[in-house]
Amino acid sequence: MQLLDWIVVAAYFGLIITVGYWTGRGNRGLEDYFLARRSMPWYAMGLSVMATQASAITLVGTTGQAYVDGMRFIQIYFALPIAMVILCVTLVPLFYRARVFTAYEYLEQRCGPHTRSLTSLLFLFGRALSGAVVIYAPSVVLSVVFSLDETLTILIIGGFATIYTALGGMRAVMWVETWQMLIILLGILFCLGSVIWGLPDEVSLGEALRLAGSTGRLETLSFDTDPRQTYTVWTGLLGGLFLMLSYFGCDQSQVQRYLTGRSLRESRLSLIFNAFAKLPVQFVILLTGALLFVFYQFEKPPVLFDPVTLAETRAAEPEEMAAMEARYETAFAERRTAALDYAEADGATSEAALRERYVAADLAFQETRAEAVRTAAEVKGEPWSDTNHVFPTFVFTQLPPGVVGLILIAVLAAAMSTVESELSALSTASVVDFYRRFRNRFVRGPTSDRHDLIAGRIGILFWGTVATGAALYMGRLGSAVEAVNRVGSFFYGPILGAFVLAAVFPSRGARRAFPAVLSGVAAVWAADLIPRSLGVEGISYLYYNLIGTAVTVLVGLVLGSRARAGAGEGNG
Amino acid sequence: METSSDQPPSPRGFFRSWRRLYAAVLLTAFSVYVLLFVFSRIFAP
Repeated sequence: MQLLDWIVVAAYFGLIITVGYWTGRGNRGLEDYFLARRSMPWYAMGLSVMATQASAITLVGTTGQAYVDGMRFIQIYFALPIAMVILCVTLVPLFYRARVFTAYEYLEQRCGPHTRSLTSLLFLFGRALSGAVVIYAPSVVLSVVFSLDETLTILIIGGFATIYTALGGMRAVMWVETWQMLIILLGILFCLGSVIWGLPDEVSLGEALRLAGSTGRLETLSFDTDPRQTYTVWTGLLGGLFLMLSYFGCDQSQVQRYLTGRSLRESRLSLIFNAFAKLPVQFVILLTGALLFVFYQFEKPPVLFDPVTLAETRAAEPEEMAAMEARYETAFAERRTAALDYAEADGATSEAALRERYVAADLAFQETRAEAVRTAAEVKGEPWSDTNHVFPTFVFTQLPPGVVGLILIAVLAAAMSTVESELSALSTASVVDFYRRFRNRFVRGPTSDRHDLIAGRIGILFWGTVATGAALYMGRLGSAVEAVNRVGSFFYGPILGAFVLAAVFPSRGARRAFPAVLSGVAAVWAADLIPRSLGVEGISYLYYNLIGTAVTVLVGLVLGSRARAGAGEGNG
Repeated sequence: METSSDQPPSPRGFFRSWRRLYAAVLLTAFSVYVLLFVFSRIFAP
């Protein structure tokens, strides 16, 4: 990091403080504080929805995944445009006209207060610790790259996001997120440009794509019908559709974005914007990773991308690593020559043979690297991979001053925008779905706007402290936090099922949504637990949402029709 | 029914109804799938 990079970082913090302060003034009640006075235009909501979904892992992990595994990951997003259209037609108008603060508030009108409490509680439980993960994951990478103390990085990301979310409220958060998303998009484009710029002069973009394609890095579609596979067209379209419907339609962190629209038209357009923009953005991120793979055909990458683990592994296994690194050098040189020969053989008769030689050389190189990763995992005594370090290594070793700062603030912006949304959603659900309802049972008469505002701020400070605190202890709590997040993902489908019952079957199944949601959660749990306890590979997690939704709707309808039949007999 | 305050962005243009806008979204998505298919076939191993 050079002076210019620090200036860029300082300018970023200056920008978000200014935007946050300027737009966050004059909050008078909960509608101001949690829903930005329902005054937001579509482009700010659209970028904010996108920023909420784009965590630091989207930038760092997805490029690393394309480097290691190719672009198959994009299939997860195939159903997103379809989901957006379905939501624009169904849930968005219902939420908007019901003038609710939370998605779960709408359920009370159709399914009763218990279903509202249950779904909101499931959201709070499922999301309570996800803030810890979105703070911790980028902090680890950034602390390694900058040689900063991990605790300090966690405190900067978590503390900063908590304080200005609490002070500025939703309006400030959304305008800050709008700027953050623009920074993220600029960062992504700079990365792609830098990788292409960094290719050797004798390798054109078309040849680089041919090299990436030869090793399967550009395989974007798989028509495999095996439901255990996650990255296939069918799993993406069917399983992904229910994931996207659940996430964008029933997760408060997303619903809250488009509830701030100044009209229904603006709210719908924000989702339509995402329907158009998400796939191209994801494609560019993955393409950056695939081209990074080509870049490192000509520039020798470190045997392990994480310098700390590399030093530890070298210290623990000096002889084994020295021999491995010697083989790695040779494998890299052979692959580099083979890559250049193949790139230059455009249309030549020997092209097929040169491609085979290049693919074989790449395989030998990847085997040597896999061996080093295995040794590092053995030294650490746990499963380990350096996928998340590929992109930062490129940024901090190859890019010029100023651009490094830009990419760094893009990663910070991605991390902080997700944290802000989580905190405001958790606080809104806690205050609106629980605190305000239960307070009204004991306190007579309306409370002041000031009282509500303080409750909202305390909610954000509370959840910010929980997320930052859990991130600080993530090293020790790691598996527990992961378990909570894993279980949390089981709730998405059943919550969507409750919304289907409320919106489509208000008179037949909505009043039985409470036991139906519990059945849905049990079904998803069983789908996950049974194959694991039998030691076999289960279906892809993307289908869990479909199972949860289907079981919830079916049980709701069956219980609803039995109740109606019972009531009919009673009347007769 | 849509109301006058609930119009898509360009009332006089092609997208004068939400249905057409939604159809455009789905058609674009389908075109992207096809383009991705062509892209991966061109550079397939």
